Amino acid sequence: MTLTLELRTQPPARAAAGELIPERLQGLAAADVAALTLRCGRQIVAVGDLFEVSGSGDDQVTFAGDLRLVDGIGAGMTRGRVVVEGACGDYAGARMRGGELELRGDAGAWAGCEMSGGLLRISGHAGARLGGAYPGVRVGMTGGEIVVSGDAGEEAGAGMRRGLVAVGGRTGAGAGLRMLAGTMIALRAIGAEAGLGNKRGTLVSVAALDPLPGYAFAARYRPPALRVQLRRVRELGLTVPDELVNGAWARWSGDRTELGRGEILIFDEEVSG
Amino acid sequence: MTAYTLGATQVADTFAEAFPMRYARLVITAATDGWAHEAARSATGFATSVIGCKCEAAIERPLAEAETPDGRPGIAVLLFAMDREGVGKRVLDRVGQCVLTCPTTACFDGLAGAEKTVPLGKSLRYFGDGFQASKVIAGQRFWRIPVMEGEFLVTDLVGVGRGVGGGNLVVAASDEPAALAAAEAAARAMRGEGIALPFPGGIVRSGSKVGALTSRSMPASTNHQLAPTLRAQVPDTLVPEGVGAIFEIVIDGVSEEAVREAMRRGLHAAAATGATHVTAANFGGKLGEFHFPLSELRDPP
Repeated sequence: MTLTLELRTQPPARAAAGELIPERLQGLAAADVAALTLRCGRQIVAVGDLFEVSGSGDDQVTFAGDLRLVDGIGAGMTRGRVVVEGACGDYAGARMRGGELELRGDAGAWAGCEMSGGLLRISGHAGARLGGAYPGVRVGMTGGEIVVSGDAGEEAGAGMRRGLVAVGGRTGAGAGLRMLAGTMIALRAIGAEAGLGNKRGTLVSVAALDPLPGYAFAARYRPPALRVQLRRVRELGLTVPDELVNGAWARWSGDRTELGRGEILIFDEEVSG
Repeated sequence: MTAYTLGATQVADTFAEAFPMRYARLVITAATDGWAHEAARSATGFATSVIGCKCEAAIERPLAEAETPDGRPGIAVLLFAMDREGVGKRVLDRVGQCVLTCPTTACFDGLAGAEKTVPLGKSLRYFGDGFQASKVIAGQRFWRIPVMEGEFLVTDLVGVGRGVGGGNLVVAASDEPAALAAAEAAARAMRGEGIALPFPGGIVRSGSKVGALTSRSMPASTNHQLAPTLRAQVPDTLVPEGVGAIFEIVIDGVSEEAVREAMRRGLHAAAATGATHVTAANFGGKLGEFHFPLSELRDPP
């Protein structure tokens, strides 16, 4: 059974929907959910004042409407499924530990930041710091998977330690900033300063890229792990042509301004072709 | 004693006796089908009998590109040992020496989700001398070990399941060509998902008995009762009249049902290919917990 929360009116200020996750709504009737409260700017408002609530929250929670002023949807969730029909605000899926969050529209900044498990799908574009770390925190994402069909903003995957971020559209500047490990895959153009301060992470760029001076060219080869990862990304819904899966990639090692055990893998169309 | 006949084949009123074993399934992939086979053949070499080789292993089946985790041609290999520790040691040895070393290969776990596991990449990674790196893909950890060719990708853990070892059929005919043809047909029919035939070509010509008549130190010796050349000099010979050659097919499987059905396929294939007699080896039913009476295999597969 699906619990549906349809936005009936725009909130007077940014609303925090972090409480509305499957594990907290399980077994509640629509009236119970409507009676819950959430923070909206400096006010506390009833869920029923903002949303038309229907169904019951056993399997899936669905949000509908223009939710760009609603932050933290699916934040901290550990299981179940949350679907957002339309654009949503910041911090969607932040610190999520399990379950699946599907955003069928654009996401604001900090989507999936510091997440440690589960799957975050974004059909539209994602804002800055996708899967990143909050200011002052060294470690960003520590597990799970983020798949974005559209573009991603600046500093996607910043500080990530484990997990996978895959972007089907363009990836903004500073991707993989200070990555500790994990994998960040950019399937189209990627912005400047990719992989700055990368320690052990893998940054994958299908588009040609001039790596930072802290990187050194190692070899062209067909990375077996990337083959499995690209097939996984395809399984998660992004278009990954066979020539990428089977193709050759140039491996650049770096960033030598840090540990230097990271890598940027750049698709080599010439060798692959 | 004959239980029933299948065409001209007499099927003995007896049973095969088998034992619980532990097993792992490895999925070995490579750039080509040929290299995947090279690695699988090497990894399953010298693994005919757990007594002499510490494990029993065989190619289970070839895998199409769509069936493997990396989309390349692959081979599923089954390896059996008496306990989980044994499986772990043998898997590590064989992947380390035969798969890691083979051009273009990668090695995956074919029993993902198994309750019990043994380390593979988790131990093998040290070959990377500190340059190894791990990746968690869809919740499963892999190790990337840098090698002269590029990288060897290997699963961190391998699942271990409860299997059955030592199912068997004994196929006899008037002479060696006829008996071999029947045994080959049986082995071909038996192979498939969940089945390993660990002997060369799946067929044993030197069936053994426990211990020896002439030595206390021998763990096993020739099954003199089933040696046709001794028929006239061994009072307790079991070689039927008119039989000139006998072959055994040993079957390990991932379950009792898998072994039973493989035996059924093998029995009927042997009967259809000229076997005069089919029987099975057992230890009087005292040693193995699994019994496969040939009388239950009368219906064709």
